[in-house]
Amino acid sequence: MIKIFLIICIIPWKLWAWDKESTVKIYHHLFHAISQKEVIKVYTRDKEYRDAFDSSKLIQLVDTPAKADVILICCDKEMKKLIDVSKSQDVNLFATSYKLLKQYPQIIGAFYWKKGRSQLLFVKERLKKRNIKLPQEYQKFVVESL
Amino acid sequence: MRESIVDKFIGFLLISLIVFAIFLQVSTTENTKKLKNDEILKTEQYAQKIVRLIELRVNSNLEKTLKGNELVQKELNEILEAFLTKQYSYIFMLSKDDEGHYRFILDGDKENPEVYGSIFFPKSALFDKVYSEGKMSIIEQHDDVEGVWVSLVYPYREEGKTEALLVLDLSREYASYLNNFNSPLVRVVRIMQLFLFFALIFLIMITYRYYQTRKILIKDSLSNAYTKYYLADFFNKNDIAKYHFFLVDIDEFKAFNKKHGNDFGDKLIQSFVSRFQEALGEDAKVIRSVGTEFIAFCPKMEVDIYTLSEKLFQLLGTKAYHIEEERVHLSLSISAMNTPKTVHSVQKVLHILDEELLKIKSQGKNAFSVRCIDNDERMTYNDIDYVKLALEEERLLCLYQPIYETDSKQIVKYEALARLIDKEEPSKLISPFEFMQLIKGTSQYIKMSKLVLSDVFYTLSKYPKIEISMNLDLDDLFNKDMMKLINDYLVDNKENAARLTFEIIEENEISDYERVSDIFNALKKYGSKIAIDDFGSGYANYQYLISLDIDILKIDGSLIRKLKNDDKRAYIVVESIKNLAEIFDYELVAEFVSDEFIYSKVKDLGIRYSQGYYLGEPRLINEYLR
Repeated sequence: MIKIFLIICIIPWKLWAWDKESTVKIYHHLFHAISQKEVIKVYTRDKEYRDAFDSSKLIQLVDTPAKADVILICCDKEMKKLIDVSKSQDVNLFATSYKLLKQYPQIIGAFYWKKGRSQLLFVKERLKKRNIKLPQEYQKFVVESL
Repeated sequence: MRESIVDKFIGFLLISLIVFAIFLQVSTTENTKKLKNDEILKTEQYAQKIVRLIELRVNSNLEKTLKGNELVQKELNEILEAFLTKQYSYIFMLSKDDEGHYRFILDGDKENPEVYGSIFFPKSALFDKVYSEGKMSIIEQHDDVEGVWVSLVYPYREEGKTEALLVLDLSREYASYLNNFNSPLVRVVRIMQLFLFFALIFLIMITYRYYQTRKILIKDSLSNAYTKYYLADFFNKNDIAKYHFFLVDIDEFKAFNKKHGNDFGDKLIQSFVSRFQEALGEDAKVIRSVGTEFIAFCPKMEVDIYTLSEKLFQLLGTKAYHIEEERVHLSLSISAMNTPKTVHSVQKVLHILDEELLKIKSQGKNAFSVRCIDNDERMTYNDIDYVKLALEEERLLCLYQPIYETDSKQIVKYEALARLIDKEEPSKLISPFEFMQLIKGTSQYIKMSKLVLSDVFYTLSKYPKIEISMNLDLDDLFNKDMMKLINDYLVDNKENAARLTFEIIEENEISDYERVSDIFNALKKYGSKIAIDDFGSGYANYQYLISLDIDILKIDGSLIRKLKNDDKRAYIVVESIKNLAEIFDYELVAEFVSDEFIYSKVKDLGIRYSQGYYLGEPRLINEYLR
């Protein structure tokens, strides 16, 4: 009976952990491609992402945007607060929606969902501006214009 | 029989359930598949309709018409939206830009519409295929596309060129709905499958138990030979006629146990069985019948049964056994049988083997005998069921053999001889020799005696001037039922009783002459006579003359037959019996007078009465009294 109870408790936790793990894995791949670093310092205000990255050893959350290698933008409001920082060449902005990517030329790429399909986009000119060379497997996601 | 029907019924029920469950499983799966295909077909029709509606609104060059024309975009988006029912997750239209990227040009999603011209990665190479070939395609989506079961990609073509792709994404939710459409039926199938699963487990358990029990039942743990259960089981599946049979009994085995102990005896039996098996080969089966009696059977081989029996007798009997540093020999009685082709009953075979074994044992044991029966006639008549049916159907006939006064050759009496009438061939009469041993001591014997008595008394009543003698086994006189039967007949037919002679035949020595004397007196009470059959052989000895009140002596046939060879000793013995009979004033009858020479000898000896084939064979009474 105790075993069954433990299994019932552990399974949802495990599923949740697995979901978090895969999110971290995807974003680490992306951020690694952008920054070329193994351990990436990330700044984000979004609680869900912070929770997800919190347990990762490869994605290190930072408190200030200036210290970050990558800033993950999840909403327009957040972007507005980071307008000054975004001008810096040292920090790379990455969005979670097509809208943000299109709206703000400082953002180099986005990972988002459209019609049930995951979408990854990088803007060629913006990458060039920041001297980012993406690995070969990402080239098919690089577009000239939005 | 009833158990077999129940087994068959359970088997039939299980098979029916399995077939029904498979049928339900297949039909529900097929039905769901059909529903899905119908839905895909319907989607294709919708796609055609949407494209036709767009074509009606846009005369030519869709992309140019839509670009910057929000009104047309809105109108066409509304068309798409009209088709976006709950079956669909998304309906949208894509066109390819100069870089080869897909971009939204229409979207039926009212709440969250995609911006015209925004980039879209469809995550399937089939989109490109549809674009280049201009043929509709159905793409089954997997987990990487959220909430979409199937995408129908329909090309929008202008002047033979694909201008855009119309995408209708059927929702995963709707697929679940279709899957669950037959859910009550599926539930029944699942319950049935569950039931069948448990039934199969139960069946496997029962089968396992059955084989475990069978193993215990068919193998004798002590000797490692099979048991009699195996015999019946084996011949349910195999043809008896293809096997030689042996019945082997170890003589005086108790002496070994007594002398060397039971453990020694057990080891000796194990060694015996092992050697027995080895001698007959691996295809043979050795069965421990009872105690130290073993049945064995082996496929008929090139070696004849006599040679095989001899080999067996040598190997098992003559060759010594080495047990616990002791060297012992076994005395064996073996009866073997070459089964006829038409035999079907093991019991018949065993019965004959048993008879043969008894003969060997009565002749001093430690010998073997082979019984070769070319046809199964002998075996058929040896079947208790066959005799039982014959008596039930009263297929019994009494023949009468005349007994003559030797000098005058005048018939003085008739001996009643019972015969069974063959069922298949009524002209064929079966001698009691064929079945008597089988029915002795059973109710069938009483039944047969009743029929004989009835016929004899009827004949006595019908022919008031004749006398009849009938055979009676001494053992029967100890049987209360039999005696009551005879007594009732005598009481009811007192007037005929004096014309009746009881010919007493016996197979066992009399231990209680006083009791036999009382029985004889009871039989003689109404004037019947007592004759001693086969006098001069077996147990029919002089003690009879001393202790019992008898009327007639019938000299044993074997003595009379010897007169044919001018056997002087036999002649003297017969003469002495004749003298003895004269002194005791017994009537004397010579049986087996089969030719004129014997008749003349009997006549010379002065034996008053004669009986035999030379004088008259057993016939229907009316043939003699015409």
